[in-house]
Amino acid sequence: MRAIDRHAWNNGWRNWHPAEKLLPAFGLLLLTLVQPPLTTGPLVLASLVLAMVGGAGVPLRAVLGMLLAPLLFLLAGIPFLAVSMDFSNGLAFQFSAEGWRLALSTAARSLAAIGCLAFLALTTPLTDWAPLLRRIGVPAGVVELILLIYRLIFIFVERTLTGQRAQQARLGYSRFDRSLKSLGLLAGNVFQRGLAQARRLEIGLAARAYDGELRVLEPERALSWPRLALAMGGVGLIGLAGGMLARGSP
Amino acid sequence: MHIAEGFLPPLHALAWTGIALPFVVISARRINRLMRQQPQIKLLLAAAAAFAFALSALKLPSVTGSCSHATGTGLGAMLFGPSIMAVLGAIVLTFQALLLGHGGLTTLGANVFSMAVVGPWIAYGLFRAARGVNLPLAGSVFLAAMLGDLATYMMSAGQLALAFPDPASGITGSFLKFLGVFGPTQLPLAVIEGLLTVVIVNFLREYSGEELQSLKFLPETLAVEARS
Amino acid sequence: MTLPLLAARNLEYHYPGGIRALRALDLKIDQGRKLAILGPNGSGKTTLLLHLNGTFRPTQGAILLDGHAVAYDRRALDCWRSRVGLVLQEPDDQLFAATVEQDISFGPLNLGLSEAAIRERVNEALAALEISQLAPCPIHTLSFGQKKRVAIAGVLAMRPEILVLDEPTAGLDPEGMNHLLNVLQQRCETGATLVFSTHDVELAYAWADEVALFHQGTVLHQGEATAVLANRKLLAQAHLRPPLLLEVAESLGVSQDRLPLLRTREAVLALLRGRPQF
Repeated sequence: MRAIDRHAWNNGWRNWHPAEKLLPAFGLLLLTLVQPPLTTGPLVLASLVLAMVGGAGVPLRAVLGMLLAPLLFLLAGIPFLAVSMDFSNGLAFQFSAEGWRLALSTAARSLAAIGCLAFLALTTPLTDWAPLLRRIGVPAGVVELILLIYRLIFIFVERTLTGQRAQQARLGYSRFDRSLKSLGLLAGNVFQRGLAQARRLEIGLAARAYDGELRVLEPERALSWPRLALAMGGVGLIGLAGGMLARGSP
Repeated sequence: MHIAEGFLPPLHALAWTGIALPFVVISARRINRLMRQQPQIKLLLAAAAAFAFALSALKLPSVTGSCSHATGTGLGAMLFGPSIMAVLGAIVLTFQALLLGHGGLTTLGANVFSMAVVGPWIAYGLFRAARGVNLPLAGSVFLAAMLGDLATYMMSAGQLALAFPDPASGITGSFLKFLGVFGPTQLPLAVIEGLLTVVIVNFLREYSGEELQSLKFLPETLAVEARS
Repeated sequence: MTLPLLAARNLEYHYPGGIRALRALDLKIDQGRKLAILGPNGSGKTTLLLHLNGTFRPTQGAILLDGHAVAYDRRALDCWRSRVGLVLQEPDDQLFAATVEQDISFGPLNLGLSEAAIRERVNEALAALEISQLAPCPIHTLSFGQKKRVAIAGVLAMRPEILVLDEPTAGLDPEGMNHLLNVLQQRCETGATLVFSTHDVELAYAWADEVALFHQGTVLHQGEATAVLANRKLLAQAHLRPPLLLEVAESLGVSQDRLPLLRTREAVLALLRGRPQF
């Protein structure tokens, strides 16, 4: 989590206007969903990995790391799409060509979509989403809530992991029942300290004339129309290529 | 259980987003109104969501040896009520997608519906019902947390089954298939989460009476169980 | 005699549940002075500081700003807090925004300034704490010392007349501490008034003009730093010992009236070097 967040804040495209990254990424996500995944999927994934590693300078390891967790889900779920189960007379399993195609195209779509997710996560800090959320009509109060949660998450996760390490050092996880007890105490403790933190933050913010609204000055970033046009052109090209490949293949 | 990004076919992804959206919008309106009436609630809710996220970073001792995480669905529902959980859950799930790569944006609707709507409502309903028939607190909490977790898992399996019906045995067959695939990790996880939630609630009642009291603006939740 | 800028008169505060945190407390803060509130941990210093900007409302007694008892309605509080800036001990209790510059802009925005003025103040505060290079950085990646500077910058950007700091040097390394004291010294030279709480007698001796000796929820005595810190009887009541530099100077036979000149390590070392070797 720390690693993903660090890349989001420190990649080569960090200072680009968020729209220049969000719009193309969503464009590719849309392509992945509407076009035949077996042809478009690999194109989208390859171009995104290229953009992240070659363009924004995110290390390949970080990209692969981000793909790992969903990959486990795919490995567990995909084979079962290919297997058909029939219990009309007894229990019978069988592979079907159709099942395989479904499994493959689902895997391709999923990997390409995960590529889009990884691109968003690794090139754009979560806080850059705020203007977009406001624009699509999320209430200002809820956007403030989201930004505040982002800040607190790091404090709480840090505390939780430190706490767990401290418990481990005192053999709190040496047996199953102890583990359960340790975890329960830790969670209760983090909750209690979390609410206390909220109260202290209220005091701290009151000292800075907090009136219920958490407004801050957004950084000024000019939208580069040429860059956006170029990126959207790229998306269009991938869509076109994907469409042609799909028509060419049986 | 997070359905991975892109796993659901487009129409299903869209449909689940459409189904989850009203719950989230109603919840957001309620939260927005609460925050305007009492500004300090904003900080409290933020702390609650960050707590739920931190909980999902905890590794659970798992019988099967695989790496599993708590969901906090049941605990959240009992602490804050299901109508608040829809937005908190949606925010936490979005953060999990963008900070951890768990779940995704296209499957956000499906995941929000199973984990931030169905799970919390089942857990909350069971908790109220169990307390209503005078079951002891620990038992009620255990049942609510465990069955809330199971309901979430079954909902996810159902979503997958609807998307990928078995050519031979249809949706039923597919549902059983997906229950079978994820069952070995999800079933023990639900029991563990139930036990864990009991330990947490006991701790909170014992040591965090004041914090629970501060949630009193949420009626019908664990706040009423606080020892004063 | 001039009126104190900010004062507490017969302050009494009970926490919910009846715990008496402050009792019969008097304190006065004069324009342009550096006041140390000196006492052991858990003696109620933080509770007092939270009264100085109206976060807590006294059970009895009053806080006086410019000689008038302050009111606790929204408008009075806003005006009060724009004049008295409070920096908490734990920076995470005060920082909430994602990046450094966003967080610092929070206070000036609440003052209702124009965007240009806000940017100017943010840059000024960044420069004053020498953290301009951190401006676009996310707060959760900063070290404790850096967060502390950001918290102070966030308060300085509101340009308060009185700066109140709770244990400002706690958790800082020697370099961080020196840096902080330099920044605060510059504030004082431009006319700001400074109040800080500490349990460190050496810091109070080296740095404060005045000391208010704090013990069990009340001010035992307020006076010139050297006079208070040389008074062993008073210090013992607060479970404190005189600062080492002062004891060294005294044992070298320096008279009471010359003590204020010997408040730095350099001055005392120079005095030692001037003496015959042992």
